[in-house]
Amino acid sequence: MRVKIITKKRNYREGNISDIIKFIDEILKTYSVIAPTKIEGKQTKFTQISSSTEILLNPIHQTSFSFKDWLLPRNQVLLQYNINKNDITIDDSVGFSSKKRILFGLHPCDLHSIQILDQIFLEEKDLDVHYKKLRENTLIIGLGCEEPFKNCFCASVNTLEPPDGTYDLFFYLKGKKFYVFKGSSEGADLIKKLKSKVSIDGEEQISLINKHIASAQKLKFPIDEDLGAKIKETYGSEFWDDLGKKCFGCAGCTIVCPTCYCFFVDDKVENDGKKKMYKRIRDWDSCTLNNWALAAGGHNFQNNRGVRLNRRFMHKFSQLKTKLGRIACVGCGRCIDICPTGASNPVNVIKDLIKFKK
Amino acid sequence: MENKKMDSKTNSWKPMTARLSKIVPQSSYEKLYLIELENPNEKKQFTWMPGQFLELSVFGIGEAPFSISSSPTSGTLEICVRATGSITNALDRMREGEKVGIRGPFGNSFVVPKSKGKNLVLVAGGIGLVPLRSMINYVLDKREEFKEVFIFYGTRDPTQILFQDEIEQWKKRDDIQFMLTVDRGSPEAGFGEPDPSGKYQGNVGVVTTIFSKIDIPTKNTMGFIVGPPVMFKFVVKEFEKLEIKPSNIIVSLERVMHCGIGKCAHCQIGDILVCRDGPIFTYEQVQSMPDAI
Repeated sequence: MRVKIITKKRNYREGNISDIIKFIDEILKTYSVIAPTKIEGKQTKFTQISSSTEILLNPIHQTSFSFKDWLLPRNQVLLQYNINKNDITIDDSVGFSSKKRILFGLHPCDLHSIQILDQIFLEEKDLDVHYKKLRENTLIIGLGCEEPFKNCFCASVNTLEPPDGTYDLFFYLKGKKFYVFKGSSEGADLIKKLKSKVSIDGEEQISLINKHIASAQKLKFPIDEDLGAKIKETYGSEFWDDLGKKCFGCAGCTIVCPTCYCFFVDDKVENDGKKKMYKRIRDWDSCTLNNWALAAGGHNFQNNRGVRLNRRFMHKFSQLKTKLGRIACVGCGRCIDICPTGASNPVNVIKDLIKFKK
Repeated sequence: MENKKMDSKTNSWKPMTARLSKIVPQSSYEKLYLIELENPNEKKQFTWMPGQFLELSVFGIGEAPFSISSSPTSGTLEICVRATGSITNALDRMREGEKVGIRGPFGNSFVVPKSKGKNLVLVAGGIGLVPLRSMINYVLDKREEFKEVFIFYGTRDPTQILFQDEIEQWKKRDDIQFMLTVDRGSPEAGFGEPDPSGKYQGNVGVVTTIFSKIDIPTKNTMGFIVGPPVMFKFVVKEFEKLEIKPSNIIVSLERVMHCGIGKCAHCQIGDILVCRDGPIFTYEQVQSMPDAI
């Protein structure tokens, strides 16, 4: 399969990588900055930094965890209420820090995830005000990859290029140089804090980087227009049964996936000794877990792993394809990195599924 | 993001407060709750159609979805709930006058445009009568909009019969055919066996046994089914015998839901979300949804 790479005509600027470090220390004066950092062993995560020295500017592995907890935090408070005898007071104000945040170092795959999350949580009907507040309060600085990671496959799912409307500023690194372009007026203001000059060959250089990534990526997601139908047709077949037997049901793939947004809602109580305060929260859920579709009374609508894996693939490659016009896999490869069994590898699972005959 | 105009300020998670104005026990497991919204404006604006559901907050415990059991033509908002999980058991312990929260109504309706002027066969199994009751009473209140109306209700045994006062009224009406049946004549009786004490004198047998006792027109007829999956499969067969097309068979689906607004994705089946695209579907739609029933 040939990958078409169109590098957009933009106003590119360029400079030395060492100036990005200075730039980060500069923006730290005004913003909370969240960037990839090392947490344990090889594991990396987007965390809030206090100095540019904490940043992994050009890690050789995909970040183990995605950015998503900064837009869809765990245990996010949807509303709070007090019960005083039989009187209920509900506080539905949306809590967030008024200090603007910058999410730094999101690769194009992650920006495509943001585009998908935006389509779900910012849709006109039933707009989610909690997501909206965090999204509005966050500037995004994207970062192109110089080399593909071990398990990523963006070129074959059309997420190699950063999507417009998601980032404020976007960097590409090459050798000791960087190329940068803006995605918003706030991004244009940020550029002023960065030592850079107009680049003449930015477009050409970025095009070369992307061509290199596309050709160097070993994994290629198979293109199949009938994929959704195939996933539905094979529901309950031995294909998913066998996959379910491989899967540990650990939820690792859904935790690291930047587009997995499914959640549960629960009420929690806090007691400070004087009075009780109730919080209605939402937290990440996972369709690979046994209680995913467990109803009160004990009936489980999806009571085996294979059925739930089918549901997971159906959501990403059929339901959201129908709804959004695109599949909800961005090729970041984190699920492949984390899964010890291979059951969550979308490239291999879909390739096998296409070959499978009932 | 400068290109995005985000103007909505409302927190769609916020419930409206309401009072349990009346609680009527139904069987040993279910109670009917009459709900009155506190704010007069919210009360005025809260309109619904048969088949829709709401999210009910039991404060201190949590929130869960429930079918609206009353017809909009009645003017009262009612849900009928079986105490099964943490929220429903907490609701079961509540008293008249206590406060709950309401979001909704959500979902689509049993009342599809093409149902007007049709013969209707409405079949409920067990607790499936709870959502279908809204449609039944709607049809009875707008009786002139429909042709012949058949209502079949099957339940496990006579102690499980819901809405008994209302059922007595339905039995008396001569502009509908209402039929009740139980799987066993008493809780102790065997499957298909009559009540040994003779107290219950009505039909015994699964709900499909009613079909052979009644003449149902095969032309211009729509079927409605709400009940457990096992009942569903057999009732569909009866409808097929009557040559009712899959597109004229209407069902209501139940799934775990955490939001009601198409976000949490718990209620996804195939390409649809039950909360938003349903919970009412035609059998034709259901046939293309893996494991819907």
